[in-house]
Amino acid sequence: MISFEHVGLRYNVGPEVLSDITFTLEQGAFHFLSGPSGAGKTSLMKLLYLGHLPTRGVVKMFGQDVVTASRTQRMMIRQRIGVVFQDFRLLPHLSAFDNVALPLRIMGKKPHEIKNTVREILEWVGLSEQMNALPSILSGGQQQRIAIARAVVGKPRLLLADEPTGNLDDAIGYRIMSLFEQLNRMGTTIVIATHNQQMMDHFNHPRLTLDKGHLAVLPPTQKAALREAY
Amino acid sequence: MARKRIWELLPDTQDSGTRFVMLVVVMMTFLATLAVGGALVVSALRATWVDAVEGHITIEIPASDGAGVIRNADTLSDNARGIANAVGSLAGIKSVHVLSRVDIKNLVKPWMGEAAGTEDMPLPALMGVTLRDPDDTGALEAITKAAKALDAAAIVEAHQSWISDLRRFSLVLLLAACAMAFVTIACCIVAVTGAVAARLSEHHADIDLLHLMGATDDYIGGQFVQSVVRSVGGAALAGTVIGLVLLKAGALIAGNIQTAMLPQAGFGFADYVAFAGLPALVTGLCFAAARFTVLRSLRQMP
Ligand SMILES: Nc1ncnc2c1ncn2[C@@H]1O[C@H](COP(=O)(O)OP(=O)(O)OP(=O)(O)O)[C@@H](O)[C@H]1O
Ligand SMILES: [Mg+2]
Repeated sequence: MISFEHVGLRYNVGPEVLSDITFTLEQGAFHFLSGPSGAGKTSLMKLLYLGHLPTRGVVKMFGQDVVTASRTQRMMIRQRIGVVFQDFRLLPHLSAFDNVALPLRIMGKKPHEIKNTVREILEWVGLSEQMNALPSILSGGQQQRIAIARAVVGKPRLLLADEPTGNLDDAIGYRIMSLFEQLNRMGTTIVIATHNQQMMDHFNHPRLTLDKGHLAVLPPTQKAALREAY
Repeated sequence: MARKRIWELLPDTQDSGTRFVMLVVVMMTFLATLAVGGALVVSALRATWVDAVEGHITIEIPASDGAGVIRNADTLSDNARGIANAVGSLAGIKSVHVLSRVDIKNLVKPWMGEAAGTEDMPLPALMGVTLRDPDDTGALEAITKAAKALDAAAIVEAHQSWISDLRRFSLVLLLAACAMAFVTIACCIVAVTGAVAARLSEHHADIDLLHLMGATDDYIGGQFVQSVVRSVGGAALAGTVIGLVLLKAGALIAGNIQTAMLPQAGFGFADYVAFAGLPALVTGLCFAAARFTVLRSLRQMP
């Protein structure tokens, strides 16, 4: 469904922050993306959500080469991707409800459908009470949950989450992870960038690891594999 | 039933920049309304004035001959009657009217004062000829021939130069009014596109995000333009209404001036259609310009 072949990325005239990245993601895959700070996790995410085009190599999303795709085709690809940004990127003048509703509105869904879906998902992330609040009066963790709700509300085919549980306490963090797993079982491909070793030990998923711009694909951690075996 | 607030992608438009633009639009449509009102009045005046003289020919037998000697009043009126009969039998003539001494006195009174009242005041003989067809170009020649045959001193006047002067003058006024309307509408467009461009760069990050979520340029542009249209539409309507109130007040004052030269004061149905078209035109043009600006800059974004 997604394939990278010898992909490189550099920002402007800077050094290559990603080099020679080659991997594929099948429909329904669930991967962690880990690596030290500055290794290029967010940069790889950018390539995946078409926030950047590769400076070399071939990136194919849903079977389409992103470089040769037309502007409209790229927009269609992006509509199938849900992203939780590392810095959330909520629209500050929109309420929690309207922020979460945004992807559905972009897809042109009907108002009553939007209302029901958004309420349901806000309940899921435990923020029904804060539905009408502006992001500025929400805590970091609450904002993060809004960002997560917005990323999943459109039932994307690919969900990308950059440190989605970074600001959350363990209980909510695990709950969010279960939500992701539930989505994954329904067919959504998921990539989660994280530093959280406990999380990777708890959930049995293969890891994409980045180091100085180079990618390696590793199996789930031993602990996670053991947990799964029991 | 309470109307539900329309969902908006962008923050409320009540920032100072937008208010400034709306003020410009109010003032400019106000001026444009006056210009349109002026144009309507000028065309009404022109129609009244041209109608009054077009298709009318005046025959005059001067009171004195070429040497300045006063001619006999009875001779003048006899000749006038003779000319009237001759001209009346020509083809294409609707009517011939010989003005009585009283009519003529009334005509000259405003210039001569009470001196015109005295019996021995020398007055010319005047006849008004109305043509069946105002564009009948051959009539003037035929009438001149008939009149000169009976009294060589007769002067036949078709007011052509007066009509063409009037036409030129009203055309200049109309062009000036149109230019004013044009420039004021152009001002609105410039102000609105400037504001839209500023708003675009202000919301650059939001737009970036929307693009990443797969929003098309049409969708984002639509959100921008929608709020612009609502603000501009309201402002243009306000400007037009203020302008109309002022015109109406002006018409009331003008209505008190008892002059036959002014057309019937007040606007008709067609005029109000023209006024209603003004805010629609301003809004439509601003919409098109804003949409063009927005889509052009959106396409330049990644
Ligand atoms: N917009 C940018 N312009 C120039 N350089 C950038 C830009 N974004 C990231 N970089 C550089 O690319 C490299 C990789 O950054 P990236 O944000 O992808 O790392 P990361 O793995 O996500 O780190 P972290 O775990 O801290 O979030 C860094 O050296 C960074 O300085
Ligand atoms: Mg990062």
